[in-house]
Amino acid sequence: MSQHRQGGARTVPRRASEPTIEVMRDFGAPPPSPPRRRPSLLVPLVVGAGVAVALGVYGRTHTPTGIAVNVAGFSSPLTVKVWLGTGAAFFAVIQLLSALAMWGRLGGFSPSWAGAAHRWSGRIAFLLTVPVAVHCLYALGFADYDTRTLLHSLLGCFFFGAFATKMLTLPKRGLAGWVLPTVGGAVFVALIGVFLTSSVWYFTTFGIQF
Amino acid sequence: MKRLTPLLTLLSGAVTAAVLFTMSAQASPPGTQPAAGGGAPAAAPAPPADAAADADAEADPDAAAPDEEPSDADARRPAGTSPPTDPDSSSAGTEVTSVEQNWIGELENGATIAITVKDGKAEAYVCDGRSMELWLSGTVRDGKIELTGKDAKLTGVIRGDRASGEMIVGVRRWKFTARPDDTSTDEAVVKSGSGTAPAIYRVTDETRKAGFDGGWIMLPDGTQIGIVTWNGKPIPAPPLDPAFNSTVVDGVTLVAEPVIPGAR
Repeated sequence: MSQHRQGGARTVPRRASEPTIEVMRDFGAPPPSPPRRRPSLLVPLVVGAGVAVALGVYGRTHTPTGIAVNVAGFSSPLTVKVWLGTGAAFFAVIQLLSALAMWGRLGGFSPSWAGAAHRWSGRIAFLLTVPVAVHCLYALGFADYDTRTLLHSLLGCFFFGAFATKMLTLPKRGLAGWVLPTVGGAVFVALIGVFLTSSVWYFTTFGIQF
Repeated sequence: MKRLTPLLTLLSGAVTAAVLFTMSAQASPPGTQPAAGGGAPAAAPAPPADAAADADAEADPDAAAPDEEPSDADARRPAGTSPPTDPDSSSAGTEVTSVEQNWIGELENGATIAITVKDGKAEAYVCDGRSMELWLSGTVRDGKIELTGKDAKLTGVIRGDRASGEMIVGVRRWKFTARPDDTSTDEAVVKSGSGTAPAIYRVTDETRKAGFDGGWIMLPDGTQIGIVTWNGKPIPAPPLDPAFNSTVVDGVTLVAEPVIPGAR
């Protein structure tokens, strides 16, 4: 215990008064004072970049088939994707809120289940995006007809790269305090960008359809 | 264990993607069902092999490979499987969906007209490739053409290998002339009337429910003319991909099907 106290205020949640030690251990954020060797982010970043580029190259070189497997119960493949994407965006918002709670940025609201909520909403959001991405890549490909489709294609590739980086970064211990929020923020921004350039565009163009 | 969960998340996503890719690769050829018989031998061995490759790659402890592997493997797969099935699907399509005769011609105002006939029933599509389009249906019997469409009526006669008449739309009236689609009529004669390839294509009902419409005329010289209704406005249609009867407009895939008189 005494060692903990010597560690002083942790950088991670600035409001150090709360007893959030369990949560903080998950992140393994070390006290800032002892100059310890930080783990390298090279591998996650390289793999993430590789994933993003590989998806883009595949989407560009593969001839779009116009056809891919579909989920029953919707009027068209597009509405399936639109709603899966909306679901992913919904869980992404939960991601943001639960992350803020974990890091003590929602005032005093930092429940013990925030970490679990963050992990599971993230898993669900990611799995919801996979069928959409497969359909996009297989049936449509990397497109640049206009700003929207180009932006959507770029952000879509970037999202999966950023997500891979995030997942490979998480297990590392002793990261600087800004690393996970930055990578997570990039994933969130990418997903919301993808959502805006697809589902929101669809809803505003064609109305809400199932 | 906790350190592994993010990797498990990645892994499950990669496996899901691999499964969906495999299903898609198998689903695309049978989209034109008759092709399954000819296309299957070429297509079938590939997906399982790749799925196995994916599984192997994902068993690697380092977890860097798995996420890239599926996309690499899948990049190879469609390249390997699609080309052999293309001829199958298109030729099978013409056998199953055939019409008796196509008449293709011009209106006075420069628009293209195509009339497709089967068992005395006829469907026609008139479009100028830019902004004007019209769907008509009716009959072609005993050398007389009688078609009606929305606020439109088309009448004509067939003399020899020439059809002519007029189309009235609202208060406007245009004359038209049309000739049989040469290439396919020759074929029909050779095949003793087994039918010719459809000349008119329209987006599927399903696509139309989603708010798009589009029509195409396959001209005898191999080119196409068509219009897609996009956000309520007609725009020139990009050509249909003959292998899949589909085209991509503004990132959205439109799937078309041949218009067969009497089919609806």
